[in-house]
Amino acid sequence: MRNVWLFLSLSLTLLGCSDTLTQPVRKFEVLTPRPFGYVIGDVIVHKIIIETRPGILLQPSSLPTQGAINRWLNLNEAIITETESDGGHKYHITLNYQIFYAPLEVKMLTLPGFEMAFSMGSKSVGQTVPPWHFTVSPLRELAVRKDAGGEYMRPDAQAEAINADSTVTGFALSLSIALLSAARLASLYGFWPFFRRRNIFKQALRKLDALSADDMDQVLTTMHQALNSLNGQPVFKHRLDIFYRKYPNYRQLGRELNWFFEYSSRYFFIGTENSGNVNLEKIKKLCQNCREIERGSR
Amino acid sequence: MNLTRLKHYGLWFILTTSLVAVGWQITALYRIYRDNSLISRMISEHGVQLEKRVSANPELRLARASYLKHKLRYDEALETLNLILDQGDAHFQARVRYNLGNLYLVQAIASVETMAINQALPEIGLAKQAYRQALALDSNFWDAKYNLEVALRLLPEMDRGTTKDDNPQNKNSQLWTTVPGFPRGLP
Amino acid sequence: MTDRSLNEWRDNALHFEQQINRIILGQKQAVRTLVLAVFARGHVLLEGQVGVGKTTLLRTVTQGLGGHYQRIEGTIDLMPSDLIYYTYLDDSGKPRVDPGPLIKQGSELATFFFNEINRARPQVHSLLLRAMAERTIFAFNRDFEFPHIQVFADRNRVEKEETFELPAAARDRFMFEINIDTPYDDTVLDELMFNPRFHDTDRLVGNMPSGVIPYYQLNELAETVQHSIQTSPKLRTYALALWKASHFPQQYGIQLHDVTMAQLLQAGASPRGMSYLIRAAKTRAWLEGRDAVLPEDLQSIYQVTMAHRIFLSAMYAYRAEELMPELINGILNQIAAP
Repeated sequence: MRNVWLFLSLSLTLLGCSDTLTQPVRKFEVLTPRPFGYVIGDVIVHKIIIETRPGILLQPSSLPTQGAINRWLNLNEAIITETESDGGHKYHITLNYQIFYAPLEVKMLTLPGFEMAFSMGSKSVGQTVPPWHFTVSPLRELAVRKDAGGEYMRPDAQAEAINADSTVTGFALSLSIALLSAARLASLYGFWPFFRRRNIFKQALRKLDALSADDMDQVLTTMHQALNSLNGQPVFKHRLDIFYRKYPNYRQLGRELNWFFEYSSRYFFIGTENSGNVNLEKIKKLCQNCREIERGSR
Repeated sequence: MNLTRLKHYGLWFILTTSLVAVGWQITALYRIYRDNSLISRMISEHGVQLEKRVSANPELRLARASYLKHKLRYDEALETLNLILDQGDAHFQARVRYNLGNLYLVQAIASVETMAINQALPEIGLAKQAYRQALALDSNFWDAKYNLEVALRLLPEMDRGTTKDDNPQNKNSQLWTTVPGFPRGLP
Repeated sequence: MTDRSLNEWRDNALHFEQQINRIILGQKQAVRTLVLAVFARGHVLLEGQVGVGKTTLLRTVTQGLGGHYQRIEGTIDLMPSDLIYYTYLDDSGKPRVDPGPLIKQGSELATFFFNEINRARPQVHSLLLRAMAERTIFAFNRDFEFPHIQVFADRNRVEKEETFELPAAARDRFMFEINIDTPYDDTVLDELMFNPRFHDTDRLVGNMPSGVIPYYQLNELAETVQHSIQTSPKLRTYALALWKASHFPQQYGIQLHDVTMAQLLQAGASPRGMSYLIRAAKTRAWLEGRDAVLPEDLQSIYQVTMAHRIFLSAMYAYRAEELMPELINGILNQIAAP
């Protein structure tokens, strides 16, 4: 129906072509589909194209109102689009009719015409849209013979399977987000064997837990080794700046790291420091802080 | 609290949220799977256990209404359909209204066969109204066209006297002067 | 010497350094190394571009130390005997033999200043070797001793013609080889260009107070410093690793770009070099006011002590200027102290 658009151009010349300029309506066209082959429930679309002279406006109230026009005819929609052209107005009016007529045989029906009104200042001008004739066909015989395979009425519409597409998409999306964030966290927490840099302080912490203050040699060495392997080369106190430039996150531990390096050189090279639980705890705390930075939570 | 820490806990938050979403969607998928198998059983089988659920999927309710109608439990079917009248998209609503029309039409035919004309007339009217609504939503709904024609044949809407269009007010009064036609066609 | 006098000496030494820095601008690092050499009693070889102040720096230090000093210019026809004696006809026309620059002042010779050492022949170098290592020389049938002698030599890096490369043995006897670079700080350059103070070197050097450090006490001081500064076992391990790395850098995971590490070196640092390293490190620890050596002491003097003692194999010798700093940095960066 809609795909077979046979536009009939009903170009109605209002008057002779001599003085169209003086007419309020410069152009009036009704585009209609084929006038046959309709059945009950079909939609018929009429398009009206009107160009008016400047200062002349369509009065929308003069169009048929939406809703039932008569017993078997319904106007579903009336769309008016308005554009400027040559100082005047150009109106595109689309009327969507729907017919509910059940004929017993092919029958000619008429879409009623109407009168469009234009306002010209205080005056009003009319423009007639002519009635349109078309034929409607029945869908079934006058009397259905059941024994001949006919049926009296069509069965119910079946329920369709519930569409799970959006749920599946959402599921895939949230699952991948979960997996990605889990993978990122796992890498931060050093759970991947191939991200060795991520679990240096984790392992160092484990080692430190097993040591007591009497093993201060090993405690310090463990911590040094952890820092060295993070850096990829030994970290010395006088080169901490380079280390911080490489790992700016550790700058916040500057005070503690300074203390650690000083303590370590006093312990190892000057021999003026002794071990002690206080120092062990300080080193462990430092290692924990480093661990937090390592896993990105500080 | 610095930015790094914020980012870190943000990551945890994203993980938990997405895990909750995953869990929620898994249950949703399971429910869809269960409902779909119930729907297909309602369509194909007849010994389906019907449980009354408050928040079932509209499609499932549609299937349930058809099943109830099939079991001649018209009142329950009507009740079920009325609950989902405004749900779903245009396609779904058209089907709901078509099924509703069918429900009325079946009852109307039954009434006509028992010569309960007074009961049949409003039922046919309701059926016609439902079909029209279905067609307004989907003008290519051929089953609705066909059944609307059935309903109109059963209770033709005659124009009085002339072929001139009536105004809708006349139509209602006219309905009661008409007589239902043959319900079952010719023998 | 007591701790108290050690502290006084340190103040003197720092003052000495400060005064040199007032005369020689923009060479803080070189001055510090030079001061370390003075107090560690080591000989120094200066290398650098022409006109960057090598000679002025040496003259300033010499002036500050007091005592006698002699200088000689290296030339291609300089013979060993020219250092020991010279012959001439006196007023009455008789031939006479007088002691040369090296033995003229006898044991009071404090600094011997050899300019352009690479222009002198190897024979001269070998004579110098003994003077530097043993602080004695045999001449006129007897040994001359110079217990306080400190040799400063310089060579410029520009010319290669008519020069003799210092033999390995000679280089090894220098404690430090210091590279003097052109200062790059704009304010320093501006000062050097426009301040007339720096135009007349004689007057400039004359500004250095003479005899700030009594040269004849330096040997005793150095001994005291060497004895009073401690080295912990950990530090010894570290120093040992540094030494080994100068022989087998590949064992310490040091890798240079485009180099087969196993074939890189011909020879690493000598034991003498290592003892110089420790001496200098102890002196530095003393100057820094500590009584124990830290890894950073070793690191800060490693380059100047080691660069002229490590010999690259012929294959890589032509890239020495590029590879040597890389190797030294590699060693310092790869070996962990504790």
